[in-house]
Amino acid sequence: MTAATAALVVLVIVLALIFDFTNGFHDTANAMATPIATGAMRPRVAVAVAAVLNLVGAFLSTTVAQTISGGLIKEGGGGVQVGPVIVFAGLIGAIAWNITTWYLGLPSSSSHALFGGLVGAAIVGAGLGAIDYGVLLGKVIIPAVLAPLTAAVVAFLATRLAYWITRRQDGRPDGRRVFRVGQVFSSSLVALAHGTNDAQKTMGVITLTLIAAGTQRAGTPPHLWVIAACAAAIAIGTYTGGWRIIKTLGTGLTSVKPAQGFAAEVSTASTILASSHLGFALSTTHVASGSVIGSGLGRRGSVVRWATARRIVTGWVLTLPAAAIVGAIAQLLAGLGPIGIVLDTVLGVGFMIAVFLRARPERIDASSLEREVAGAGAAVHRPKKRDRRGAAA
Amino acid sequence: MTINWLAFVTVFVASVVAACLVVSLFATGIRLLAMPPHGARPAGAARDEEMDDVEGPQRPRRATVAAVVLFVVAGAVALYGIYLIIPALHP
Repeated sequence: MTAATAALVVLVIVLALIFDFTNGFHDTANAMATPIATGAMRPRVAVAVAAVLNLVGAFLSTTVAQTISGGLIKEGGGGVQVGPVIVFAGLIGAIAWNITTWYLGLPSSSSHALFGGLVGAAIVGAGLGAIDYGVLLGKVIIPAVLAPLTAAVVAFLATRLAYWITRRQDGRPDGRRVFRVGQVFSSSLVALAHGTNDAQKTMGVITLTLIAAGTQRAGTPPHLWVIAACAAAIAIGTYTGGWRIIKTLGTGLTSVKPAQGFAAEVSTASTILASSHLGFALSTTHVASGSVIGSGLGRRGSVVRWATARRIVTGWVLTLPAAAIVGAIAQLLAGLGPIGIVLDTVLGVGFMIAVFLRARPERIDASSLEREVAGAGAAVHRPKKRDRRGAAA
Repeated sequence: MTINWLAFVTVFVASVVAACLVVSLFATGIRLLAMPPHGARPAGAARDEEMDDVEGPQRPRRATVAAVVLFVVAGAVALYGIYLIIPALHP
């Protein structure tokens, strides 16, 4: 392996880990937006729990796919060689789109961003014929339409059921506050499932790049350091907390109450576990957003803000093409040779820094969210039992 | 490649069944915890629809036991879900 190839492989690994990090902070919301919104867990506790479970989850399942793009690009025998350059350009596209949607507070699928980036880079690098459009439709586009709809129906039914079973009898309290205890467990399950699903993707990218570079034998499992690095990257990303997205999903779509939040989280967990177990992969993000909307429709007296839902869906529609365009441009530049790769890296890092700086003045973080939840809670505050007794005496 | 509709329908049905099962178990547990003692008169006070605690320990003992059993079963279903996502456990 020449020094130039080695440098490129190192660069791809670093970018893959950065992507894994953005994947983590993008998706904290999927598990933790609703328990934060109902006050079941304090924001910092919630992201810490999610981070640990993502870390654990990453070690639970390390089956790496045979192809980087899941068959989206005609890789291997008779197809295109997806070399480190295409992966590099694809990752730039995926990271750029993940950072952009984070800035806009939009929950969007990191897998779609990765696929988009790779597709764009592969089209420029190997032509339009490199893409298997049947797989694109059957494995990416149609599931993306079905995932939120499925989750919405499941969550709608589950929410109705939760309220119907606990409706108040004899004018006595219904105990719905207890659902907050359940939320701790249901959201943890979502976080664990996320770790097993998503860290694996980055492990696959790194492992297949190492195989392509000739430093690892084809068909061998990922090295332990790859697993550990990916687990750490996604966990740190999760702990950083994509607070902007947590805000959108927890309070932007509909105001979430304990029984409803529990139903939404259980629906998300069921749908994701069923889909990954039965081989019809659905995006965690699409499922979680669908569940929140479905549960909002299921709770009487709640309002779903369709304007926010429309923004999110627009983001989903744009994810694949937008990441593809950035990936394509990165691949064009990379075609210039080493100077192009350097230029790509500088532009990519520059873009990240620019977005973070732009986001600073309107910072959303754990404490600002906590104040918001406390503010909403104050309206329905009820003193603790012993305080009430004290007041009555 | 076209979409595998059968797989999708299976996922949909499994999701509905699993989610409704866990929610029913947990909600019924809460319903039992909130059960009034025998012969008690309604409290009648209008309170918060969403954030009600269950009231005191005056509920029948059987209700408490049944509630705990339901919570445990709900937890067992969740554990089965975890079992499913760990490939090492089912080769």
